[in-house]
Parts: sequence; structure tokens; C-alpha cells
Amino acid sequence: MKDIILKLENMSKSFGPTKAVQHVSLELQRGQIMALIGENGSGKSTLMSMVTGSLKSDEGTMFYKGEPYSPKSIIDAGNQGICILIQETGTINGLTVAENIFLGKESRFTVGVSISSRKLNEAAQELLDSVGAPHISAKQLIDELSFEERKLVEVCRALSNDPELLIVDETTTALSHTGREKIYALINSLKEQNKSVIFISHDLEEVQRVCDCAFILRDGQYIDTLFGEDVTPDMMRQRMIGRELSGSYYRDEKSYSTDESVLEVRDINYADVLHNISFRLNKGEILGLGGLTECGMHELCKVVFGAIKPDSGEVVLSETGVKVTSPSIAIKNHIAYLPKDRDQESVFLMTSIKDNITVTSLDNLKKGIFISPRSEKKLAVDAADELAVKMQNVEQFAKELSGGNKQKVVVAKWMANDSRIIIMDCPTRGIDIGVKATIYKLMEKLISEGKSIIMVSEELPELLGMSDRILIMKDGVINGQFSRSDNLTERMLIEKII
Amino acid sequence: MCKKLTAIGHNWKGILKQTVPFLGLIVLVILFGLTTKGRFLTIRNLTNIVSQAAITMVAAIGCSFVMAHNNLDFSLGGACALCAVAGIVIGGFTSYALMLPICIITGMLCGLATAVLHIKARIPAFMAGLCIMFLGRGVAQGTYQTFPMSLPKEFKVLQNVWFYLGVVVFVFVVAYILFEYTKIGKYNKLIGSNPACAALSGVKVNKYKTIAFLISGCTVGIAAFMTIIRGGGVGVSTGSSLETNVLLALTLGGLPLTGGSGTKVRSAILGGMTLFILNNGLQLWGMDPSLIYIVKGIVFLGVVYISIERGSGRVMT
Amino acid sequence: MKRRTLKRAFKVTALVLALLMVAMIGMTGCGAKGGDENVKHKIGVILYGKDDAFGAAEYAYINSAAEALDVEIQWALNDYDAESQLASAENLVAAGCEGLLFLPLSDNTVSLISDYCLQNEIWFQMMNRDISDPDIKAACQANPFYVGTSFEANEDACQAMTEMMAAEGRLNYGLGKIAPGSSLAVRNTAYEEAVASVGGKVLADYTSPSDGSTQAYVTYMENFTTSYPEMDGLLMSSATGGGGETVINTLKGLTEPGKIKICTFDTFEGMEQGFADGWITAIAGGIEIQSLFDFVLLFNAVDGTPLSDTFTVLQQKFIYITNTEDCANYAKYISNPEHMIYDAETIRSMAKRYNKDASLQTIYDLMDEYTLESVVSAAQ
Repeated sequence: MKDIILKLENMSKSFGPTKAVQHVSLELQRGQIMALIGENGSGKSTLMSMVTGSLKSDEGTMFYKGEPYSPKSIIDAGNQGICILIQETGTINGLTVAENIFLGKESRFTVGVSISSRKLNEAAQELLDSVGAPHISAKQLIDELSFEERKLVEVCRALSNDPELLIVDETTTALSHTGREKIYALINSLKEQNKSVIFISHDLEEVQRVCDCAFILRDGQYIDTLFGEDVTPDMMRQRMIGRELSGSYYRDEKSYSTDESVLEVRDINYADVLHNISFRLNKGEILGLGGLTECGMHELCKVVFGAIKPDSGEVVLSETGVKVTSPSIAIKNHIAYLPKDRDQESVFLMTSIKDNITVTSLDNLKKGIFISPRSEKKLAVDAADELAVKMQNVEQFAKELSGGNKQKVVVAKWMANDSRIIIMDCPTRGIDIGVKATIYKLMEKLISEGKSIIMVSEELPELLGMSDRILIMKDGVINGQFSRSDNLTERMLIEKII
Repeated sequence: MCKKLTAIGHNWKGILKQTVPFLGLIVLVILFGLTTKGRFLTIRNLTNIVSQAAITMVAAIGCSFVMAHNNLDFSLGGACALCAVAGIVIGGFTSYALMLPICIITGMLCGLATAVLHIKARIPAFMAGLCIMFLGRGVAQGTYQTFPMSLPKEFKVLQNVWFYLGVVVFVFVVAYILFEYTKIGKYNKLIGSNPACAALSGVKVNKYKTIAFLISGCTVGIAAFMTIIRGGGVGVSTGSSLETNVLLALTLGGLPLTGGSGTKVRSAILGGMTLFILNNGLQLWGMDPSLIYIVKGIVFLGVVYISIERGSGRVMT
Repeated sequence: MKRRTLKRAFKVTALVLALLMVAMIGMTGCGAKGGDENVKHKIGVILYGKDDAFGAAEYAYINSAAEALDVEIQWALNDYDAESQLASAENLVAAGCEGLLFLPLSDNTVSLISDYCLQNEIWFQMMNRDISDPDIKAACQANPFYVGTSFEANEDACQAMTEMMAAEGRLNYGLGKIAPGSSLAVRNTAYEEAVASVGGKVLADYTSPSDGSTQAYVTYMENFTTSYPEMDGLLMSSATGGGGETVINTLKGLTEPGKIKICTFDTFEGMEQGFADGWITAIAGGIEIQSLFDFVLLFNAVDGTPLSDTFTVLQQKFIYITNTEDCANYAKYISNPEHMIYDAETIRSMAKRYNKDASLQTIYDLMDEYTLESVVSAAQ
């Protein structure tokens, strides 16, 4: 007898003319870990928003533990035992860890008329220990924690509700290896307690490892459910995109790498983050940078781009001897930088695609001090077309694009400026498979044109698949260097990472 | 999902936001045209309105550069008083022909001071602006009793609508070009949109913020000169309502309070006219002065309600 | 998408329109109605505000005069700089006002409104102000549409109060001045001249703080009593902003009642007790009524029957309060917004439309009679 905890029947939701979800039905059993996968815009988040009560469905009914279920809000859903972990941070600065965990539920710890902070802290610490984060103190201010630690605090917050069903929405994308392991362990322990998990992720290897079954959506419609042995990246990828992916997913084996140095990084020291970092970048190569998220690789990107001033050391262009000390010098010398945090650092959300693309090229466009709108538009249209950005027109706001298309716009911005050295910090973070492949193809095209790429990645298959050379960083120093080879395995990299 | 929802919300709201200032102005003109027994739509009254709105519009045009990069300039009134005092006093000692250049230079110095306080001393710009405002007010009051501050007779010829209109058109055209067709306007909008991203795209953020304050200072200087002409000299309370009027005008004109790419210089003109037409029309109705305040407040609130950029307001689990 | 948008935009427009319509319907009551026999004139009044005692009194007097004379009045309040006052003048004229009465904030305002009225052939009258700038004064007086102005008889009041002091045998004075530059600064010199005329002596003076702080008064009084033990009178040019109370309260702690007595302009809280305890010789006040005469002068001009071929300058007498009984009468008949000093009949007697014999002399006579006693007896 199957014990169904959540059942969705014929769910539909439209936003104006966009049919985000169409007639989707789903059954989830107790103790089941189900992956919900699909490309961006396939309706995953919309479907889950209806389950957690933050959106009302247009059609369809939901049953929870056999009873009709219609949550009024995300809080109502939480109280009934359906909790969600979201992609972005949802913690509030200025409060302690414990206060964040029990936000809105402080009344549980009421003693007389006041809230006992001792009890609050104790309960919070217990939760922190249980998710494998005993190093976080419940009394600490949330501001002092890293991005990853905050995620764990959010996990605790979800667990504090003692959920029957936990929805994990692309949470792991932002986490490092260890962080992910903690989430996996948590999911397993929930399974052991006969609770259920819906897991949303773009990382199909991860899905294969963690989930019992995979529920696949495409363009708002139900496609298929895969079970057990069938949950493989290839099968899922094929169902998600709707066609066989031909050829290799990453790049061809052909190497464009030369011995000609284009950029030298000499002896960089920066606060406690970077120590004596030196390396060179060659023409036509992809230099992979890997490590844990706090190992200093993200900061290193900013140093190379001139956005962070190091305490000592220098970044020099080999050909001209120019020292890169500010972003504007970097840009003048055709260096590009794609930050990890797209919405915060690389896209002007409430701004047209055109302005996003032309921002780095205004100096090339201007005649005297004036910039002609026509040349501006031409540049933007050409660059956007080149990368096949999915959009209505270049006047559309960047905010309205999916993650992958935003990333294409960012790439377009740097291509428009004729960049020759491209620093990419997690270029495919949170991007669906279709666009990921495009970005990989583009990187290959760039090196084939003699350009050079520094690629930071937290995904080992990506590092292995794309890089000509890989530098592994640990605690601010370069801990290992590998050249591209078939014998290289994830395990070898992990040994240097941890 | 959230993204999609706001995207759709954004589209119609975006168009609404762009049309409301126009609609508002047209509705007011029709309304007052029909209900004031023909008093509103007379040449004389319309020229009055232009003369009344000109100073606010000129200052607002410059201020929109500062608003574009998401700062408020609270120095306007005080800076205007300072410029006017400097212009008329120094002009009195040297030559009144120097009045306009002195006003502009003083205004730009005020802008520079605000920018330096804001960027180097890292004081929020509106605080820095407040300091300049008090300074200007103090100087105006202090010098008022010491120097003659009446408009020299030769300048009375400028007290007509063509002068005010000419200045507004000139300032607007120059500002429009700077705003739409040069890096100054484009970069300031981008800084307002996302300062971190602008910096990482090679925009010299501080330089362009400073330029915006200088432009604002320049138009305040011009506005101060117009104030001297219009006010027949300088008084203790010269420019006292300028910052509120400018802020009201820009908001009524649909300028987003958080700056960014939606910023348009035309807001200064649309909003300035709307504000003073509202003022004029309500007085033509013979509305009780205390009610005028209330009606203005309600209209302002309505416009802000329609045009303000709200946070996502997302509930957290 | 587009259609939806337009629909919504339309809805919002309709809503805004509807709201404004409602507002407008509320306003139609204020619209001018044409009179049958005599035209009902419309006069615009620009006043800085009606929230303080002075503004409230003028507001009430002018309204009572308008009612008596059957004039429509349109107010423009809350203008604090020259441009705003000029804008209000323009708007009032556009709204159909045939005459403007205003309390100018500065000489510049006078010049602006005078020029504007000349261009548009509008009668204008000022209240409570003399013009200090000689050029502006000359230009204004040459303007055929300038009806007149009024200001209070400061010199007379200084003389009168100093004489009352001298009559009590007090001749050694402290002098409370007003900051130079203020239009009231004439009181400083007027006091000095009055002191000379009674053969007294100014031992020391202070200037009223302009920031409204009362702490300065405490220091002044302490210095006066310590350095000049022979001082027996204090002539104050102003008692506003808590100055009057502070001076008396401070003196109470420093010396015996009656050792020093004060006379001052401006009535203040606690003056009754001050008289009862013997700290005050005289207080001058009650000048708000001049706005009523200004309004009548302007009405005559607007009605086509100006009382004079040229401009008229009225001098408003002060009322002197010299004891607790005066205080009570003042509160009941003068500073009481419920009680109008002049009834409709008296007001009409100054207007040619209602009284063929009305002349400037009628107004002069009424103003001349203005004393506390006459107001009290008229009321009774």
C-alpha cells in the first residue's frame, strides 16, 4: 500500500499569456526523495510556489495527507509541515543565529511574559549540531556568517518546524562541496524518519546521487517520471531538452593553448584571504580555478580584474607591461570579468538589455562626447544576436530574462568590448542545461580565436571538462596544479581541495 | 515564478508609470480649463504659470542627474540662497553683469562640497546636502541685514515670461543631450541601477557622481539667478521652498525615487508644470488655502503610490 | 498585453478624474455669484498665516469687514518668500480679484507686487508695513494703483510708556532693543529719544535674542541687577517668544517687587499676575485692528470711489494696559476672536457705497478714538 503524503491533481497557473504550469499532476510518497527537474522557465518554481501557498493556482486541487489542502501563505504551509529552502538568502541581518532560526516562533520560548533567550539559544544550538554545523554558535550575529553558513541556518529554520515534507529549491547551487554534503546527509536522515523531500536542482549528477525518482517538466507540462536505475544524467537531460544531445557535453579535445603568456599574476597577498599567489595565463587556454568557496578564488578574480587592491604583488599584461590596478584599466586592456553573483554584480536588472551590453563600450562608440543611439543599438543587437539571447528586443529589461539569458547578456557585454582575457567566476551557476552547453561552446569558440579564459568553478566535472590547466586553491594558497589529461579524476582534485 | 510575476506586473506598471505624468498633466489642464469660467486658459494665466514654475523646473532638471544615481540633493534651497547672496553682493561690489557667472560658480562649489562630503567623508548625500542647506540659509540671513539686496533696475527688463521660458528651454535641451547622449547621463543611470555592477563594468563611480552634483549645482546657480530676477532681489527666505518643490515636481513628473534607468529629465518639466498648474488651478477655484495643502498632499500620495518601486516583500520561511 | 495596459491606464485616468470631480463639486459652493443691484467685488488677501495670535486676529477682522461690506474674499496663506507672494498675487488676479491686500515679507515683495499691479491695473493696499528702501518707496508711491498702507505708531507708544515710567519717578533705565534690520527697530531710537525728553538715563541695553531662546534674558537681568543697582525701569521693545514671562520671573528671584518695573510692547502670558505683583508699568498692544481699516480703504478704491486721489498712510495707535482690570478688558474685548471691535454698521459707515458722507476723515476719527476705554464702552 503506497502511503501518499502529497497529491496534486491537474494543477494549472498562468501569468497573462504565459502558461507557466499546465495540467500537472503529481504523487509523492512518504519517505520518498523526488527530484523536480526541468530547464529554467519549465514551471518548477511556480509549481512549488503553489504547494507552499505563495501563489494561488488557477485550476486543480491538492491533497496533503489525504485531506484537501490549500495553504494561505508560506507560513501557513510551514505550520502544516511543508517547508521550503529557497535559492536566495532569506536571513535577516542584525539578528542572532537563534533569532533567525525561530523567527516568528519565539513564543515557544516564553517564560512568563518575556522570551527566554537561554532556551531559545539551547534549542537553536541543538538544531545546528544536528545538521552538522556545531561550529556555528546560536548566539552569534548572522552578519558574521558566510553565505554558506547562513544557508545552514536556513536549513535549521526549516527543520525547526519539524517538516513532513521539505522542498529544497536549488539551494545546493550556491554551496561548496562540504556544504552540499551536509544537505545530502540531512536529506538522508529525513528519509530515514519516513519524511519526504522534493529536490530542485540543475546538477544532474547530484540528482542521480540523492534522489529516488525524478519528476520532469518542460514548458510547464509534465513529461515523465524516472525511477531508480533510470535516474541518470543522460536520461534526464534528454527528457528535459526533448532531444538527444549530440557530441560531447563539454568541449572537444582539441587544444588551442600556446606557450605565449598574456597575463602574469605575481606574488599577490591580500589580507587573510590570499597568500603569495603567482601564475601566468597563456594565450588560447582555459585556466580552471577550483576549491572550496571560501578558499580565496573569488577574491582572486577581483584582484586580477583590479577591483580589489592587493596588499602586495601585481597583475601585469605580458605584452605591454601594463599593470592592472583598476577595473577601468582592465577594461581598456580588454580584460573582462563575469562575477559569480550575477544579479548583484554583473547585471543591471531594471535596465534595458541594450544598456547592459553597451556599458563597457561607450568609449568606443562616442564621437566627441556624444553617443549616437543608432550605433549603440546596432552594437547591442549584433552582440545579442551573436549569442542568441532569447528576448523580445534589446529594449526589454534584463530583469525579465532567465538566469541563462542574463549570463548571455553579460557575455555579450564583454564580447562587444572585444575582450581578450576573460575572467569567469562560476559562469554556469544556476543556469539550465541548454544554456550551459551554449556557454561551453562559446568558451571553446573564444579560445579558438586566441582569447584566454580564467574560469572559477565549484563543479568538478566542469573544471575537468573545460580546463587546459587546473589550479586548486586551499586557504588562500595554490595547493595543486594539474594539466588536462584523461587520467585526471575528481578524486585527485578533491584531495587537494580538502 | 516570482521573477515571472514581477515581469508581467512590471510591463503594465511600467507603461502606467510612464503615462501617468502625461495623463495627470492633461487631465489637470482639461479639468481647470472647464471649471474656472475660462480664467485658466488665458494667455496671461498660462504665462504666469510658466514664470512661477520656471525656477523649480530649472533646479529640478539638474537635480535629476543626482536622483539618477540614487541620491537626494537636499542642499537646493540653501545652495540657491547662497548663490543668490553671492551673486548680488559680489555683483554689487564689482559689476552686476557678473551676477549670473558668480551664481553658477557658487552653485557648482556647493555641488562639489556636497560630493566631497558624500564621497570622501562618506556622509550620506542627503546629510551633506542638509549641511549645505543650513550653511546657505545662515549666510543669507546673516548678510541680509548688512548689504542692499534689491535687484538693480537694469535687470527688471528680464522680469518677463520669455526670459524664464528661454532659460528653461535652453537648460532642458542641454541637459537632455547630456542625459541621453553622453556618458554622464548613461553612467549616472547605471550607477543608480546597480552601483556594484557599474564599478565592475569600469565606470568610475565617484567621478560620475561628482559630475552629477556639479551639474545640479550649476542649475541651482541658474535657478538662483532667476530667483533674484523673479524675487526682485534677495530676502531672508529666498529659495526656502526650493528643495520641497523640486522633490515634489520630480515625483509628480514620474521620476523614480531610487533613480536608475527609468530616470528621465522630462520629469522635471512635466512635474514642475503639474505642480504649479495644480497650485494655480486650486487658487482659481478659490479653494481654502488650508484645503489646498490637503489636496496637494493627496495628489502627491497618489502619484507616489503609483510610481514607487516596491521591494519584493517576499515572506520568508 | 497592450490592450490590457491601455484599459488599466484608462481606468486609472477615470478614477483620477472622478476624484477630482468630487473635489470640484465640493468647491462649487465657493464660486462667485453675480449680484443683482451692486456688483459683488472680489478682493485677494495675502497673509503669512493665520495660526499665530497676530495672524488669527487679522484674519478675523478682515473677514468681518468683508462680510459687512458684502465683498467676496480670497485668501492666499503660507507664502514665505518673495517669489511665492508674487505667485499668489498673480494667481489671485487670475482668479478674478480686483484688489490685493497684502502683508509684504520684504521691500522686494512690495516692488514686485507694485509693478505687477501697475501692469494689470489692479488696486493694491499693504498692511502693517512701512517701506524702508527709499527707491522702492518712491516707485510705489508714484504708482496710481497704490491705495495705501498702515503701520503702528511706535514713536508715540515709546514716548507714552516712557512718560508713564517717569511719572512714577523712574528715570534710570535698562533698554531692551530689537535686532537692527527688523522693521520694528524704530522702537530702539524712539525709546532713546523719549528717555532724553523726560530727562532720564539709559544705563545699559541688550538686544532681544532672535533665535527665540529665553535663556539670554536671564543673563541680561542678572547682569543689570548686579552692575546697576540703581536701575529702576526696564523699557522693552519686544516681549514675544516668552521674553516677558522670563524677565519677570528672573527679576522675582533677584530683587524686590517694584524695585524695577517694566514697560513693553506685546502682550504676553502671565502679564495679569505681573501687574498684580507690581512688576509692570504698561504694556502696548492691540494694533491688529489696522488691517480692517486697510481693507476698507481698498474696498472704496475697488468700488470706484477711492477716498483719496493719492495714497494714504494710516498710523495705528496702541492700546495701553496699565493694571489688572485693563488686562481683563483686553482679554474680553480685544484679543477675543469672538468679539469684533467694530460692528457691521460702523464698518459700512467708512464706505462710500453705504455712506455718501464717508471720507478719510471718518476713518481718521475712528482710529483716533481707539482706546481701551472707548472699545469697552462701545461694547457695553
